[in-house]
Amino acid sequence: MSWSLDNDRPLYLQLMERIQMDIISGKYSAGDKLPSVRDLALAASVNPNTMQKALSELERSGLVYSQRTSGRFITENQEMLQKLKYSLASEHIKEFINKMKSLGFDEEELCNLLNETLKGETK
Amino acid sequence: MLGKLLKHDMKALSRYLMPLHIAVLVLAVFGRLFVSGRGNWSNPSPLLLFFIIGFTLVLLTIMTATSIIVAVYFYRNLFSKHGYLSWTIPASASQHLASKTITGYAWVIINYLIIIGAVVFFFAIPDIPWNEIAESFTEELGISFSTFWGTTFIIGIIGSFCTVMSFYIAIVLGQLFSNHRVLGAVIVYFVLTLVVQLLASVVLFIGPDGLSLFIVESLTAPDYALSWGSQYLRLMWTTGIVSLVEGIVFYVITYYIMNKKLNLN
Amino acid sequence: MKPVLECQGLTKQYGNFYALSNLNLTLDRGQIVGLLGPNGSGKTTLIKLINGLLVPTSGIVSVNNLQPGTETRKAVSYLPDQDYLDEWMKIDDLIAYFADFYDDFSIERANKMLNDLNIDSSHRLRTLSKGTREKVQLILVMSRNADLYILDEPIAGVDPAARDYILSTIINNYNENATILLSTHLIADIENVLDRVLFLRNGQLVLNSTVDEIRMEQEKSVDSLFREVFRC
Repeated sequence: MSWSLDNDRPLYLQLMERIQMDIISGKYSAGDKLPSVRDLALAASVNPNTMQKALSELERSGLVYSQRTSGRFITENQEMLQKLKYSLASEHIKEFINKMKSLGFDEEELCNLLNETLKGETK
Repeated sequence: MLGKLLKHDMKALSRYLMPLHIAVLVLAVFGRLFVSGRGNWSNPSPLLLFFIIGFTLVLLTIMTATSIIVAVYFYRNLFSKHGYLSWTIPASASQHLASKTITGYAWVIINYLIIIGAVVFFFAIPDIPWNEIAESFTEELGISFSTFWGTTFIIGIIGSFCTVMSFYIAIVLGQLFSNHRVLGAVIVYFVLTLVVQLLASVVLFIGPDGLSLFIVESLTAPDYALSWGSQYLRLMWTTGIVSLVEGIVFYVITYYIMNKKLNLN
Repeated sequence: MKPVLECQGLTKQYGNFYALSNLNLTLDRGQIVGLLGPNGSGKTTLIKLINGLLVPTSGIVSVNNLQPGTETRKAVSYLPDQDYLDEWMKIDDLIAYFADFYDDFSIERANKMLNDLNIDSSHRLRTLSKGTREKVQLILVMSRNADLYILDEPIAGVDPAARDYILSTIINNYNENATILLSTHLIADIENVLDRVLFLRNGQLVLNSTVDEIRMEQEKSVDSLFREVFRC
């Protein structure tokens, strides 16, 4: 089962996003060991070089760190994880707001719609 | 590497040739036990004659079949789609050719020996007066029965090498065409055989110990009986040497083409 | 490390027809490279030249700095795009054959992959379905530890599940000392697996680029770019 990846954007960026999502959504917890490059590449059906590049970028950002022979681990820095969570969320929200605006909603209408929908979900 | 090739080539050829030859041997044994051993040789029955004719056909067939199988294997293994496997293993052209030559020649010799063995086995019965036959033979031709057959046998073995090489060279020459390579090979084979036969005949006829000289001598000299036999021997040995040289020349040319000019379809 | 493949001015001519014309290429190790082009563009010709199955008209092709020959055959593992094995042979026989002739062949790896696919190795090739036969051929080729793997149309004519398995096998057997050269015209399916692509048209190399470069600079997939470049 391969990850759903677009063909017209660089893969390594998409892979980074997917791993970030997996971390935020709880698939991986802080401090967890990531599967090997090869296993991740197999799961995503991508070239191991590409996966390697994605992981290196994540390392650079500090989200992931590697321990010589043991492999790669998720950071235990809760602050960073929170920041990531919020930054991903705010990206989605911005996108959402833009879409709603192009549908013709203004800010007040949008808030009302949001509240009603949320209430509906909790019933 | 050569050893490995020999092993696989031998195995592949034997897969077809072994059962055929065993069948022939069984037939020979059957023939000896039930036909020639029990037959009335001074007044041969139709059954005996029928069996001899049939057996001869079988032997001719297996001789042809062996040649064809050896030639086809050479072609299939190296120049058909299976060539993609043969030419990507780390064996050189010379190793391939050596292996095919050794195994092809080996089976042609085995075939030859079994055919002769079968015939001898069938006819080596006490009912037939072999001693008398041998004596009158020697009288007529001036050489002994065993010398005659011995020489023929040995020259046959030497000549088989050229037979095998003539198949191989025809096949690789056929490969030089860009299309219809099999047809090309068949045509080359017949043309080549024809040309070589003609040349050999010319050499044998007007060459140093040639037939023409012999014919003139035998008509003028009184003691011609002796000369028939020894002329035969001379002819045989000349043929033997010629075909050996032929075989070697064919081998060298085949090697050169395989090494330099491979263009697999 | 030295490049695994080099072509300089490589040309193959048949009469007036140029199957390959003045090809220049250097491939480093550790890449999965797609050799892409329409039928008749020269892909198979290039592959045969690398394997020494054809002789160049002019120019040079070298593997590990050696001309195609016995030594390069030890370093190259080639999967042709047709049936090329003896159909009467059992899979076990083929494994023995490969192990005999190739020092770098891993019997364990071959058996493991056959096991994964529930293929009974005592069967003869001709009793297998076409898809299974192709998987077996791929397994034999990928069970070697070669420097250069050349796969000619490994996923054409194969069902999607088998395709996935083949791609997984390629990913699995990837190592940074080897390069895999994949020739295909089914680009969308394998794009994600490629590091680099080579576009061949009418015997000439018209593009040699990494996949990322194409996606970032041209902002389209390799498949889209291919359709553009080779628009009829």
